[in-house]
Formats: sequence, C-alpha cells, structure tokens
Amino acid sequence: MMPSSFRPILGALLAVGCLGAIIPQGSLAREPLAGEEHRAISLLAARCLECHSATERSGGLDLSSSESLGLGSDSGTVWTQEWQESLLWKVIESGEMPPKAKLTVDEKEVFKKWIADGAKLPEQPIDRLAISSDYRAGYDWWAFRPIAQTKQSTTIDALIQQKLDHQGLVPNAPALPRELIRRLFIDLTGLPPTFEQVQAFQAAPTEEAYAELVDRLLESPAYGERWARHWLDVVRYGESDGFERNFPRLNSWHYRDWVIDAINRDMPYDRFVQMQIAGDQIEPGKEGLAAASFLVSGVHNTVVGSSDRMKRLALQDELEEKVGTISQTFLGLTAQCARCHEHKYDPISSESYYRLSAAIQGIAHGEVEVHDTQHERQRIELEERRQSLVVSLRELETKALQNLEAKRSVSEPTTATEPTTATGPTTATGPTGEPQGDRAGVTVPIPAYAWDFEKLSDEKVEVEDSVRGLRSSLQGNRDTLKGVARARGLVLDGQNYWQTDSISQNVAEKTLAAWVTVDPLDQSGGGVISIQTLDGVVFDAVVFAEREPRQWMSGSNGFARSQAFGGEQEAEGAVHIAIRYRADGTIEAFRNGQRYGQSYRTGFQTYTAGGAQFLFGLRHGPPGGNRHFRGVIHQAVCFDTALNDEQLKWLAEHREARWNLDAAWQSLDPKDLAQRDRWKDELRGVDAELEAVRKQAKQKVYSVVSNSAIGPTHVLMRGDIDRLGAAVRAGGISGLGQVAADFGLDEKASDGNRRVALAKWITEVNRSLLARVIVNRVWHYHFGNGIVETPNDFGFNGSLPSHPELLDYLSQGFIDSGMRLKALHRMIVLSEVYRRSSTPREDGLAKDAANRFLWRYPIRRLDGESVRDAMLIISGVLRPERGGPGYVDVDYRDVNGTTYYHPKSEEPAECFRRTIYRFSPRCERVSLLDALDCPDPSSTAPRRAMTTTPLQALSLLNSGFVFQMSDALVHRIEAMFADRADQAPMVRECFRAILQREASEEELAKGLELVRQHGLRALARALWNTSEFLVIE
Amino acid sequence: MNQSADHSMMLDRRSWLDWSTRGLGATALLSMLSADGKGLAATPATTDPARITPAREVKAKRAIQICLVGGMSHLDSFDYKPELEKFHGKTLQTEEKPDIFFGQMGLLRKSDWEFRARGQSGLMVSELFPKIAEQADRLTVIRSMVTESANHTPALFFENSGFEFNGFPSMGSWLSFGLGSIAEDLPAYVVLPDGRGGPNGGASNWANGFLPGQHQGVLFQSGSAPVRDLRPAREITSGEDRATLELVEFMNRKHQADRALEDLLRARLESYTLAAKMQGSVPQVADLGQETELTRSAYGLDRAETSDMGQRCLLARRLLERGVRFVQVYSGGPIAGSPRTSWDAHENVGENHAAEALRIDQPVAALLDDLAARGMLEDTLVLFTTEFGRTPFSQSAADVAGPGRDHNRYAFSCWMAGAGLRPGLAFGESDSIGWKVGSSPVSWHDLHATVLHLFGIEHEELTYYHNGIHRRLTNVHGQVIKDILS
Repeated sequence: MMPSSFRPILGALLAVGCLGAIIPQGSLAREPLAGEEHRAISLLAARCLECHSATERSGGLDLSSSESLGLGSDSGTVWTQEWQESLLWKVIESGEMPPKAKLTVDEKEVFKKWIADGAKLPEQPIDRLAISSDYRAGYDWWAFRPIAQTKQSTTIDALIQQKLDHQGLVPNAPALPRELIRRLFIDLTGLPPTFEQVQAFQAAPTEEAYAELVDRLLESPAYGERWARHWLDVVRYGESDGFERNFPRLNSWHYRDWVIDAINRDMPYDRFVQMQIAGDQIEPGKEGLAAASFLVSGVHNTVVGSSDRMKRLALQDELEEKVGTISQTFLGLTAQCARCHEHKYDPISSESYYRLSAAIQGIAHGEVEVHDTQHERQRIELEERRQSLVVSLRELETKALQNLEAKRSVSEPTTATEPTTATGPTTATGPTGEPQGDRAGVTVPIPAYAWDFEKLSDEKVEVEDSVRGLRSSLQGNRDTLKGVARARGLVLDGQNYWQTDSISQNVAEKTLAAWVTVDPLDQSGGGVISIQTLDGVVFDAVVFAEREPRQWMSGSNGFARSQAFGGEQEAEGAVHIAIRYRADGTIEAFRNGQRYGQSYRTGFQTYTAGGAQFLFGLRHGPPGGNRHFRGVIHQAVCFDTALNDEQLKWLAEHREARWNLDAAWQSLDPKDLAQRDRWKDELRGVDAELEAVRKQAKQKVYSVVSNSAIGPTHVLMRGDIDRLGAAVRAGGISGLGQVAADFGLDEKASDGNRRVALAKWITEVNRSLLARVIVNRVWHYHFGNGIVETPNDFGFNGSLPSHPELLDYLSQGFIDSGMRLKALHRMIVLSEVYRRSSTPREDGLAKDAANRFLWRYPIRRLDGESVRDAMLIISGVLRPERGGPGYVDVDYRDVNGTTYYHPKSEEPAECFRRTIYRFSPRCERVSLLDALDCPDPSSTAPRRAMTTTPLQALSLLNSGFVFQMSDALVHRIEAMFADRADQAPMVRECFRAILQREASEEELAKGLELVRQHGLRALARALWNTSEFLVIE
Repeated sequence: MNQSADHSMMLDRRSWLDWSTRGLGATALLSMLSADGKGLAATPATTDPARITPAREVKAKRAIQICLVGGMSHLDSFDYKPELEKFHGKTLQTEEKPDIFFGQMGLLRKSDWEFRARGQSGLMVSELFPKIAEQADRLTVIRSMVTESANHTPALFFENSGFEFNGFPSMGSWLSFGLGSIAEDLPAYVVLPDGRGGPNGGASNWANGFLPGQHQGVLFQSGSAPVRDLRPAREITSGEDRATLELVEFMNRKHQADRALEDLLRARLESYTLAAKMQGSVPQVADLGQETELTRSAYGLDRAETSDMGQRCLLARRLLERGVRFVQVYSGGPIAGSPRTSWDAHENVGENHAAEALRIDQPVAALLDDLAARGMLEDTLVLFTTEFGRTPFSQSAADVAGPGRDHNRYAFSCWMAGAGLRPGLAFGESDSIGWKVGSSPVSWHDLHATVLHLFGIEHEELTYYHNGIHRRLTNVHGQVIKDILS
C-alpha cells in the first residue's frame, strides 16, 4: 500500500523562502529540526537521496516523495505494512544500503522507527539540499539564516564575558600602555609607533588619548596600505601569469591601488564588492576597470596547446578558479566543489555552479588602454604651453647664436677665445656650416647640441647640454652616478641609460659623434648616442657590435637605414666615433677622425622639434633586450649639418673642444637673459606636470576584457568537458536567500549584463552572510583568529562560530553603519577584549590553550610585510611614494617566451617602499618574505601560516636586507650625534628606535660591549632578531 | 622492518619548532589537540596523526626522485615496440585528432636505439641508457603511465602535486608534512635543479602550496653557502657573528622568561639554536670533497658531460644518508630554446636524447650501485620519472618520418627502484606501437598513492584542510599499484 503522506512542518522545507519561519533564530543548524520524523527525513536526505531521487533513480527508486516511494523500485514495492519484511528495511538492516559509508547503530534505529511508523514522506519531493544534517549543510545552515537580534544594550565585552564565565575563565588584566600602542599601530597601519609616540601615550594613557589615536590611525593612508594587504591575500593578487610562461603583468597595480584607496575612503562594503565584479560596467573608466581586475588577478594559462579539447579544458579550469575565488571571497562558500557533482557538504548543486560559471564566462584577461578625459584635456593644454615655450626659447637661442657668429666673423680669432680655451669655435671665422680657413685651415660650426660629461663631478641625475641647455636625465640604477667623476663620463652598466627632453629644433642632415670607452669589448647591440622619435619607433644611432662582432654601425629602426660599414674590429675601447648622415641618404662613419669602412647610401630621416630626443647608452626605447651599452661616454655632440672629412678629423683631434657657449648667452641683453631663465623654469615645471598628466591621461590597465560571443553553458556531467548535461543560464546559487538564483537573462546576454546581475545578486541574496563573512575577516586580522576559524568557508566543512551572538551583533552593527569598515574597526579596538594583556597564564592555558574564548590577547609574530616595513621606517629609509608601478626586487628576463625571476641579492634604494608596493610575480620567492610565511599568490590565502623555523632565523640574521637596514639605522643614529666618542647615547638610541623603549642598565652594558668590539651595526642586527621586535604582544 | 615505532617517537619528541622532526607529529597535532570533532575546533581537522600511527609496514624511509623534464621518449628507452620497427615509415591509420602539442602527425618511426634483454630479469632496455641498463635487475618499470595534459608545465605540476595548477603542495612537501625529516639540522625536502637552470614553473614545482611554509622544497646550490642566507650577506668576523648571537640569545631569553608558557617564544629560541647547527651541518653535507676519488669518479664528477648530474646525485645520496626525507634531482632546465636544454625532442630525438642521456646515465647508475653498496637501497625509494612520453609517429609532415617526436600523454614509462618493490619487473603495457596505454593504466595519483604507501601512509589519510576541502596529494583518486610491491 501507499505510505501515508504527511505535511506538517516538512511542507515548510520545500519552499526555500519559508525557512526562517520554522527554525528558531540564533540556534545552530545541526540540532534536530523538530521531532523524530525530521531526524529521519534529514537522514534520508543526507544518506539516501543522493542516489534515490527524481534525477538519479538508482535501481529505479526515488525516495523523495510519498508518491515516488509508492512507485517502488526495479525490484518492486519497497515498503509494505509488514515493514519488517519490506525491502526498504531489509537493505538497511543488512547494511547493504547505503553502500559506502555505513549507518551507525543510532541511525539504523531512526530509520527503523520511521519505517515502522509508515515511512511517511511529504507529497512534494524533498529538496535534499534544503536540510542540514549530521552529514551536510542545508539551506537552513546557521550561516544562511538572518542575523539574530541581540539585546540593544549588549557590547562586545559582554558577549565575550558570557562565554568566559561559562567556561570558568578569568580574563587577563589590561595590557601595558606600551604594549597596547604598539599593538594598535601595527594592527591598524602595519607600522610601529616611534619611541616618542610611545612615550607620549605612556605619559597619559587616557581613554580619550586612545580613542583619538584610533581615529588618527584610521585616517592615515598607512591604514589602507595595511588592510589592502589582507585583502590581496584573499583575492590571490599576483603580478604574473603563473604556469609555463609566467609573463609579468606590469599594469595590474591599478587594482592594488584601487583597493588601498577604497579602503582608505571607507567605501561601503557592498559597493566595494560590486565594483570588483562589475566595476568596468558600473563605472566605466579607469576606476571601474581597476576594480574589476579582481576577476583576472589569479593565474592564467597562456599555453594551452593546439587541440580544441585542451583549450576547452583550460577554460573550464580557469572558470573553476574564478567561481571558487568569488564565492569564497564574498560568501564564504566553496562553490568550486560543485564542478563535478553537487557539493559534498554544502547546498550547492552543479546547476548552481554552472550558473555562476555562466555569469563570468564572458571575461578574458587583457590590457585595456584608458583615456581619462579630464587629464587628456590637461595634457593638451600643457602640450600647447610647452610648444609655445619651446618656440620662444628657440628664438632666443637663435638670437644668441647669431650674435656669437657675428662676433666670430668680425673679430680676430684670438678675441673669440673667451668662450672656451683654444677650441674649435675660437678658430672659426665664417658663418655656421661654412668652414673657412683658420690657422689649421679648418673651421667647425657650432653644434646643435653638445654634452661634456667629463666635467661631471657630483652625483647629479640631470645634465644640460652646453649649447642650448637641453636637459638629460638618468634612467635606472643611480649607483652608477658614484663612478662618474672617476670614469670622467656617464657610466653605463648595461641597464641604465640617459635621455634628453625633446629637441627644440628640427634635425635633418646631421653628424653624431662621441668620445667613448667601450667596456667590455665583447658586448652586442648597445647604443652610444641615438636620436629617436619620442615613442622610440624611429631612430638613428651610433651602435656597437649589433650584427658584426666589435664593429661600429649606424643603427636604425628595423635596420631600415643600416648596412655594415665593414670597418675594423674595435680593439682599444677608448675611441672617438662619428657618423655623418647626408640628405642624399649617404651614411659614413669616422673612427678617431679616419674614415671607418665603406659608406653606403640609403633612406634619410628628419627629426622634428618637440617630437624627438637623444638617448645615451640605449639604442632606442623602450629599455631592455640587448639595446643597452656598457662603458663610459665622455663627450657627445650633434651637429645639424654633415661635417666634412677635415672637420671630422679636427673634431677627433680636439677633445678639449668643449663647446662652452656661455659667452653666446652673455651677448644677450640682461632682460632677455632673465626672460630665458624664467621660461626655462616654467618649461621644467610644465614638463614635470606633463609627465604626471601623460601617465594619468593614457594608461594601460590589466583587467577584464569582455568576449563578444559567449557560447551556451551546460552542466558538465562529472565535470567532463565532453559530457554535456542540461543547459543553464547565468545565475547564482539556489536556496541562499530570497533573491532568485536565475538572473532572468537569456543565453545571449552580454558579459556586462551577466556580471552586473551577479554583482547585484551577491550583495543582495543574503546580506547576513555577506556581512558575517567580512566581519569575521576583520576580526580574524585583529585577533589572529576568526570567530569562524575558516574565513573562506562558512559551510559544513568550515568551523562553527565560537561566539555566534557576537558575530551577529557585529554584523548587524556593520550593516547599520552602511557597511563601513572603519566603524567596525573602531568598535573592535575600543573593546576591552582587544586591550587585554597577552601574558600567558597557566590556568588559562589549561582550560583554553588555543585562546578561543579570548581570555588574553594572542601573542603573534609580525607578518613578513610588517617586519620589512618596520625595518625600513625605523632605519629612516622608508620612501614616501604611494601607489603606481611596484618596486622590483627581482631581475627578470625573457627566455624564449618564458619569464624567469631571480631575487636581487640586495635591494636597491628605490625598493625601499612599503612591501605592499612590491612587484609580486608568481613562482619565485624572495628569502626574507618567504621565510616569514608570505604566501605565493597562486591561490586564495584567507589565513596565513605562522611558522618558526631555522631558515627563518637564518634569513633574519644573514640576509642582505637585514644588513642594509642595519647600516641605514647606524647612519641615521650617527647623524644624530656630533660626538661619537661616547657610544652610550648611540646604544640607547638604537634600543629606542628598534624596541621603542629605553634600554635597561644591563642591556645598556651588554649593548655597549658589543658596540665597542664590533660597532653599532652589530647591535642593530642583534635587535632586529629579538622577539620583542618581531612579536606583537 | 616495521617502523611504526618511529612515528610515535616523533610525536613524543616534542619540539616547539615548526620544523622537520615535527612532521605530522606536530603541525597537525597541535591543531588537532584542541579539535574535538566539530565543536570549537581549531582549524578543521587535518590529518589525524592518531590515524596514521597504527602499525603498518614501512618500507621506505627516504626517497630520491630523478625528474626528467621535457618528456622522455618511452619508445626509445624502456618500452620496446617491435611493431614500430615493422611499421616504420607507415601512416598511423586513425580518425582521431590526437591531443598532442603541435598537432603535426608524421609517419611512424622506430626507435633510434637498439633494445636488448638485460640481466637475469631479461628486462628490455635500449642502448640509450647503457649503464642504467646494467641495473635492470634492480628496476621496476611502469610502462603504462598516463597523464591528463600534453602541455609541459601543467603536466609537470601534475607529476609533482597531483594537480595541473600552481598552488598545490608537491609530493616532497606532503612527505615532509607527513613524516618530517630524520635529522633536525637539515630540511626534510631538498631540491637540486639542473645546472642549466630551473624548470618552467620554477619554485611552484616544489611549493608547499597551502601546507605551512616549512614544508617547501629547499634549494641546495653548489658552493660554500648551499642554502640561501646560510652565511651573513656581508663579510664579518666569526667573533662579531658570535657576539651578536649572544646578545640575541640574552635578549630573547630575558623576554621569554616573563612569558615562559608561550610556545611561540620557545620556538623562536630553539630556531636560533638549530640555525647555528645548520651552519655547520649544511656545508658539511654539501662538501663532496669528503668522498673518495673512486666514488667521485664513479658518479662521473671527473667528466664534463656527467659532472653536473654526478655532483647532484652524489649530494643527494649524502643528504639522504644524513636524514633528509626526500630529494628531487632535475634532469633538464627550461623547456623552450635552441639548442634544447631538456628532453623535449620535437626536432630530433636521436640527437637530443643522446646528449641528455649522456649527462645522467652514469650518475644515476652509480647512485643505484652506491645506495646498494651502503645497504641503503633496502629502505630508499628511487624514482625515475618524466611528465609524459613521446609519440610513435614523428613530428613532421604527414608523408615524412622525421627525426622528432611530439608529446604523448596517453602512454609513457617511468621506473622505480629500491624499498619494497619487486625488482626486474615491467608493469603494465602500452599498445603495440606505444601510442596509447594497453593494459593497467597508472596515473600520477596511483604512483603517488604507491609512494605514500611504501612510506607507511595510506594516501586517503594524509589530508590537510584548505578552503573547504580536505586536500590530498591524490585529490579524490589514486590506487596503490599492488602488483609492483614485494
């Protein structure tokens, strides 16, 4: 006979939306729902329906409703009045079913009673995902329920105390002011306080002083830098592709900057979430694109082979990675587990997984060029202003040079010796470009530009040419400046180079020449002097050994105007080399004044004022490859004429011709001179502004690119790309809340529409869950452990909340504040539990070693970034630059399409920025950060491991960075004391700097002893290694 | 021998440090102690060491993996296919679009090397590896390996970690997590990359993934500082170093005294003591000068072609001898490039494999001899693996039997030797031309499960909770290959 159906209570389970009504709010899920039947039904859902449901019908049996049960199985009726004889009971009793994990004795009893009572089932099929059980979470799981209302008057501390009382635990006393302020500083900003700040707070550790400090720290930009780092862990932000090629992503830092900025601005969290899923749609432009870069900040396989199958598989793998990251990050759900079959523990069906997958199926990884209209307008205005300044200056230049020429043509040769000393111009008697006889029979015109690098003595990063004052500046390694005076010229190390501003006059026919030392002789392709268009696309350059070993050539774009001269191989290194470019396309080279190889005739290139520049040490832009020259450039010159052979010979014989034209400028009247200075100053300002605006006006952002054609999405049976199941459309996870899982979009919906709908769904479907997940993350970072210990997993496999009421209380407060993180931080850090001492107590440890009930503040080691940042700021070398491309502490190179990254042995000074600004490629680890547990950004890292290993001790003792910081601190301290004979004050200062406290007498004595023997650096190195520095108490 | 006692000893020897000897004994244990089921668990249950300690036969105490990067041709080495000789120059009749890398299917091509039956076992090994061939009676060859991707890096990740992606722990990391090191002053897992460069994917190949950081492979380089940061980055006197360390110790002891119960601070003190020990033990173990001339020359240190691999095989033996759990030795550097520096013989198997084999044949054979002579082969596992094989047809135009072969993920060969294996055995088969697997397919999950089994660990039991999943080296797959066990 048909088993009788029953409706009470269970009926409610069928419709998802009604769940709240039947479940007492605030209770946890795995309590029995109510009564015996529920126990049986939830057990049935957990243990039987996976195979015996309407869709599976294993053995022809569907156990999901009264009607289907009545239909029996392939073996006939399964339940009869004589229940002991019925198939249903027999297979359970014998242990035949379920086939894998066997029922416990208790569970068998539950089934026995249920079967004996008539095996009642509801009329409507049971949605087995709806019901929580001992085996899995259902729609009624604690995390999905609405927030339980707590007493208005309650506080964080009251809720904590409740649990402590219950456990019989006594909380610690408040922390000492010094401990507290250090804890607060590092926690909120990732940087330690100074000794003075600690002193000030210790002097008056009032409630008001503390609250004021909290506000000040939350308003400091360092707060965003600190908390963005946490977020970047969660979203697995890395700056290379991973996999085989591991190509660097040089333009993905916009996302990092956006996160910092959003956190500093205290952007409402729901907005923060929506922007990351669909920012490019919600707010087209740079900000939106930067935010949406979240979607593509994970790994990306760019080598998927030739077969269609491999491509499809790679796509599905990538979608799984993205679906998993999105669902874990925002909802604390591991939806990726439902790719091959429904989630084993949480109510996430494969349909739900593939709906999510369809919602993001239209995104691809790519770079988008962004034009910012406001900056673009600014740029155009500045360019125009620049142009007019350049023209005005050129008029003055022309006037001055004409004055000089006039003077030369009328005066005796000797009278012109003033500008220089017995050099070219003094012997000139004719107008520019028309050499006339002098004592040696040679007249050389005044160059268009001339650079005398031999006279450089100090470490200037900018030099002007001596004719027109065209500015050139160093690009790259500043260390090379140190050798300038000794080498008598620009020192080029194969990585750096110098470039000028844009030229102020057209250059057509020309002669490029330089005094240069090639070192080493075996190098290839470097440029000595180059004239190029500003984008580096067109150029002519004096190049060494690009094609023929050790031979000079005239380099040009794509070898368009390059042929071998066939000159001798360079053997000396120090030479004068010149190349002459005639308007008829003839190109000839001269080495030490002698013709070098054969001339040839080819095309001819003109460079226009404002559109071209000179480079020294780089063949053409952009830097990289074999384009860099190694050696020293002593002098360089560009004539805007083709010099004749005699002039070239003269040039090579007169290294002392330095083209110092101060006299020409002196010929102008003082008013003009003053005007010139003003214009030059203004030009400099315009250039600086222009550089900044140009960067802003047109930027590349690594972000999502929408695919125009998106294929249909199917459920893939067992995740197999060749086994298509039902078609699904973009949507969310069923059963999480009131909002429909279907987005109401058809299968042709655009990528943008899909993601906008997804963003809306995620922030609306279950705001209780959304809030709980982020509130728990914030708590996790404040206390080293979350209320839920698995921040990415609020499902069945995750941990249960230690303080469910507290989590709900904080979440409600968070929602009420408009989802503002700063308000949440304030609540937490102002609580007593946050301000407790961390001292371990035997009685506390005996009852709660893991400190789940927070009877003390946990002692934690600083994370790797905070260690590095603290060393930088304490040593006084932390650079203030915020945002923009990251600092690069690895050398990287492309080898046949694969990029390899090698950590530099020591960081150059330009790396001394906060660690969040580190360029962070995947697959390579730098020692100190690695040893201190900074995660590889290959997958989401919601909790960091905190290990203590001998390798960590070795890094903290021996790495180059630690020595650099020790040296820097010594430098800073020594500068504070005029009298260094008495070392005690310096020792004291070292303790103050690193530990933010005074040294004790004993410490002072020991410190002094070490310093006397081995210097202050040894003390700094020792103190960096103290637990007191490395631990938050 | 039964080694279960070893495990429990590890649990008793309680160290506060997250380091080698702890293995499962500690990292997992600490989080487990407070975890009573689902209640107020610390991190959700990772592997329960209690489940792993029951008496179970432990065959292997340590392992070395020779990892051939690029895809060694099984057809030219360990999988003899007379049919291929017969059909040399013929077209492979198939409708299928095979899942190979470049997609060019040339004519079938026979082996470039002659095969011969070797030793007592009569195992067929080609002349590509004349010296390894002499060791045939020690080898357990698996001729039915299969993998998922015909693409180097995902395939190499799969070989190492059971997943095709960045971010999963490699087998060595799992072993470190499960068993720790035997010596406290050496890491549990050491990696020795090819002298010509690391493989594509770099450190991801020996990453700890979501396992705690102490389980990642530690790179050893040649020279006086084989491990990074072993010595101060600046030249300082040993007196300065010692005096500095004394002050560190003084400060840390004083600080710890007031917080005597704090594990973290105890661990920090211990870490400096062990660091000092490592400064002595690491250079010592890396000093190959301590070996006799005879040994050095047996490993090929005196010949240009073999010295890179020879040094690393010898160093590996020294590391294993002193208690390192797992050493991975790479044969082959970056994938792309010309001339090739890996086994990726798209252009010419004959030339490429001859050169690559010359580099490793003698050192690997010497390693087997040496381990056997020292009685270590009984409880040391030797793995000789490659991420996939190569196609029986050449990589060339359809009517040409060119000299190169493309990737073959459908069938390839690996071999194992040593602890707990049946030697002189060939397990599984590829089809008659070595294109697809013929019988008893073996996946990486199966091979990983077998390795763990030999170490006394059932692969389903070694788990670590990460983002919702109790992760395993074998994902949700893996079956121990019973037939190759002794």
